[in-house]
Amino acid sequence: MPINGKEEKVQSVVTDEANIPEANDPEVENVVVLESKASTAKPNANEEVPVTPIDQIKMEIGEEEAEISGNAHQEAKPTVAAVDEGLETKSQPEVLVSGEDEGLQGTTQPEVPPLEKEKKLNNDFQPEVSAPAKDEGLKNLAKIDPKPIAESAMPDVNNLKEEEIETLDEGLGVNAQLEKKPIPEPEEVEIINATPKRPIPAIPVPTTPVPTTPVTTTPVTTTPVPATPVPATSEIAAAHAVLEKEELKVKDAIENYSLPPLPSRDRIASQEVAKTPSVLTPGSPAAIQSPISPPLPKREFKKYPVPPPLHEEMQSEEFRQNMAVANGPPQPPPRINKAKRVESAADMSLIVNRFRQTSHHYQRQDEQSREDLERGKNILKSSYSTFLESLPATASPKRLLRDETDLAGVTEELGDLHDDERALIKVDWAYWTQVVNDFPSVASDPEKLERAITGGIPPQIRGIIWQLIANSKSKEFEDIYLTLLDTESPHEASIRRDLKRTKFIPDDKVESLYKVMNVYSVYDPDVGYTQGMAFIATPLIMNCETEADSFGLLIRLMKSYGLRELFLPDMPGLMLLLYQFDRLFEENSPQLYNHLTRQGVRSSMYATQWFLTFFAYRFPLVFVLRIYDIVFVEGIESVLRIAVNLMLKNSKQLLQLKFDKLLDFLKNELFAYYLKDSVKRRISKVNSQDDGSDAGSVLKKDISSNKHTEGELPEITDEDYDIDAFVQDAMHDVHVTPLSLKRYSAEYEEIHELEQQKEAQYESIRIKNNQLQLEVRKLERDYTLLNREHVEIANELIKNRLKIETLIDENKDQKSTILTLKKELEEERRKQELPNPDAAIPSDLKEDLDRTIRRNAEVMDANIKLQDKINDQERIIELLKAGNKAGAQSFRASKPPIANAFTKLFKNDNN
Amino acid sequence: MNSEYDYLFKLLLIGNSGVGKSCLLLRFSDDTYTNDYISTIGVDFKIKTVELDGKTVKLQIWDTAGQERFRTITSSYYRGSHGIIIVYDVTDQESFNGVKMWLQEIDRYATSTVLKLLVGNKCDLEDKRVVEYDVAREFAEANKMPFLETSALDSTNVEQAFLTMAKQIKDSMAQQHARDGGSNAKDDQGNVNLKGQSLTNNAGNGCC
Repeated sequence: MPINGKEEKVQSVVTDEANIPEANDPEVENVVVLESKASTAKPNANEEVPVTPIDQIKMEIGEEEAEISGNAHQEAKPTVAAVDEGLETKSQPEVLVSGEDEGLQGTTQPEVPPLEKEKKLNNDFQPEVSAPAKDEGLKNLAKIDPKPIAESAMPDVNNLKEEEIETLDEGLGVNAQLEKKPIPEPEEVEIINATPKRPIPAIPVPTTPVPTTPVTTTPVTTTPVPATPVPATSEIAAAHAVLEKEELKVKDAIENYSLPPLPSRDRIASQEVAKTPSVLTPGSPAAIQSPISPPLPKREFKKYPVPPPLHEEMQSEEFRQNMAVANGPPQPPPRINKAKRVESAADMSLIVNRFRQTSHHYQRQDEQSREDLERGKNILKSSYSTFLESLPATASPKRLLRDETDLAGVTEELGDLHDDERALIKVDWAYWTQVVNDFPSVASDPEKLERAITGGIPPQIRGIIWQLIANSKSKEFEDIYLTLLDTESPHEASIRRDLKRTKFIPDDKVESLYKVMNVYSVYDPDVGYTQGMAFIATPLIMNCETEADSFGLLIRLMKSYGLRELFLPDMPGLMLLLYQFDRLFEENSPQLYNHLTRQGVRSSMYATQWFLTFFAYRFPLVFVLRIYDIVFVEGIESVLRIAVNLMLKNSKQLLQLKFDKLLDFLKNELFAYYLKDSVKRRISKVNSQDDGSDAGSVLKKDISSNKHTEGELPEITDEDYDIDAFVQDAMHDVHVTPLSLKRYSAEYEEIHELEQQKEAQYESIRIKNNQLQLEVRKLERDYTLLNREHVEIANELIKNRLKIETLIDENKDQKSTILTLKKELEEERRKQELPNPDAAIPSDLKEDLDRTIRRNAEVMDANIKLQDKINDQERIIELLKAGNKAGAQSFRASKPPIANAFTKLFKNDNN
Repeated sequence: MNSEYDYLFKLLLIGNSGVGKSCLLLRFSDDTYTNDYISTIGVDFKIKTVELDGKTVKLQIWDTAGQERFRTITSSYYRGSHGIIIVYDVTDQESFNGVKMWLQEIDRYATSTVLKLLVGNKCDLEDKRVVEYDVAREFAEANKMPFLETSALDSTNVEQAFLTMAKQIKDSMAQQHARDGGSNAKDDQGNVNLKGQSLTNNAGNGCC
């Protein structure tokens, strides 16, 4: 199939040509690659030219054309080589070449008979021949080619070609219209010309006329350029033969050819002139043009821009054929489409996708494991048939092949049978037998399988079917199981602890659950044991005959279904599922999704337990088993549609609830939606009798706490749920395609990567932050220390300043003292500088003076002494006087006292 | 909406698998007990409203899966929590050893102001006890968190545990409030700094 890009390329080339008179340019590019080839081709053309009988033609056509044709040859080959796209592309250039060859042959052949040439021609022809041979083959060729031959005149050939082209054009036109191609007619015509040959190899359908098919089937094909180069070898051989014949004919025709090409040329010329002069040169013989792969056709077209009158055209057989093709069913290219269909089906249907994965998985196994699996399958088959035989006569073998439609009638007849038996009869055993015997063929009709699964796998054969679908029964697993059975698991304690804390596990199976979990934890140490796995394993154990079988199923679920990813340490699979759930949910009910988001309810709060336990965490067993049915057929992604469906169905209530109640409801009451109406009524009745308040949450009492009192509420059993409706809704109301899931998971990968980067960044920032905090603390400590020091220093400073102040004061005092002292000194000095009175006295005088002074002092002393004496004398005198007076008086009495006084006095004097 | 309660506290129960977190919560919220309570997958959630110092406090309690690898799911619940109750099983030494790890988790995922409480559950199984009360109490003291031994089976201390937690949160909120209100203290500090600065300036001037 040509690719759009190619088509574009081709078109562009064509247009280029149209614009360029020489039309060589587009080719040149191609030619460059294959120059060597071109060179070989050219010589031929040249050789031929001179020799050809149709010199005139040649002349008219001009050497250019010859060259072009040569180029075309070359070009064609390169294009072929270059085009990996496929046969179609390749074929086309060759076809063109062949056409050219014809033309050339006509002209050249008589003169140049070398074998080489012939060979070359043959080769060139080959593709053309092969193409028709393949399809209608010769018929087409015969029609096309014979005519020119019969006419044996170049002009005729031209005409014929033209006609052909036109008819083709018409056909194309139709197609083109269908395709709404904007390309101008001429190009299309060319294309058509090319196409007939081209399509043949590519399209195996023989009935359809070559030219139209490609065009119709693929819009891309409209461009003539790509043609399939590789016809089937046998076809090639046949084509070869035909070609050779044709060649001979052509040779004959050429030999017979006598008419000058002029008329045709004229016609062409005029037409060309009308359109584009450039076209004229190369275009004259259609054959010549044809060799040039993409550009040539254009030219041709230009040569014959005006198609023949419609009625003429309509009469041509080719036209009719083309029309038939064009109007016929658009024949999708089956090969490609088939592959595509499988691919796209796998993209669109979980079932197909799952089946494909399972079979891929199977194919990857080595011989031994495959053998084991086959053997396991056979064992399952035989146990299935044993079971069938054990069925009551009414139910089983007789009715095995009965139609579904029949069954309905039958069940009515058997109304009086026991419920269980009736259930058995209702089962479409024929279908399940087919599932058992040939699941691949069953899986090829996903719709029917889906219907069957929607009805539920009959519980009696549930385990068998699961194992068959999952392709899990194998001696390999049994061996693993038995070998590892006694190995001690590092998770033993946790497994033991959870055994009784698992839902649905009957007491007598607890040990089996332990063993299976234990063995798995040893078998897959990366996963080990994760809570939730026991929930997953329980229904398996309950539905398998042996522990090893359930172990095999578990391994399949984990490893080939991808459940393992959910239980790995970081639970990547769970995160992905949650993301996919969010997106699906959002897509299906944006309103509810927004409501939950605004209420702060995230899917991880409630859906984690759904996905990790396939809903076993809170849902009743009857739901869980049916969910398993779906999971085994569709893969674990089907839990998404189940989950989304539950949300959708409950959206009315959910929308009214706020965070707390919302979460409660999501965890405990979603499945109450599928209570049968009668039960709902019953319950609401009881509720309203009770208190009438809690009508909204039907199941609240029953489920959230397991201790409901008898009589208050009737016990709700599995039969009270309309489980078929649950499955049906899940399957039909929510569309989940592997394609969209892939898209989501790609999104998730991206987001996850970003998140991880952020996480890493956060982590590193956190660490850095811690370090910085430590640093900050240290700095703070340092700071306080410094601060304290600072304060101390500051205080000291203050003290010092005070000291300085006092010192300054002191200093001032000192200074003033100094000043006064200085002043005094000054005074002193000044005083000293005053003339000294003593200075003038001569020293001897001084001595004299001193002596005198001394003398004076002595004199003074003596004087003082004398004075004293005088004073004494005077006093004595006084005394004497006084004594005289008294003596006088007492003289009469006595004179002695006076005598004493005198003596005293004289004594003193003497001393 | 807020009229139903004065406070809303978010609590988180963590601890090794099988120590009885869910039973503790069930006892507290519904006052019931089941021996075979299914193991928690992911997170579960209960609401309980209590009276505390005359205020209505709504406790939103998240119960988590104990297995370590559920951390991817559970870790996001740490951040929003006001209080985290770390539960261990007094009859299971390993679960007590795990407390350290859980504390690290708290350091890593929770806010730094989150309040912690250590709870040793199953204290009714006295004869199987391996973690002594004193050891645990010392450990709790060393890590600056209150400690209680409880029994979900006979309801010992269950209510107290949650109420202790609630009270702690309420008090710390009050403190927080006070601290916010009394931001003067911080200003003082600021002043000290300013003083220091001004002193420096003066000193500088002095130098000049």
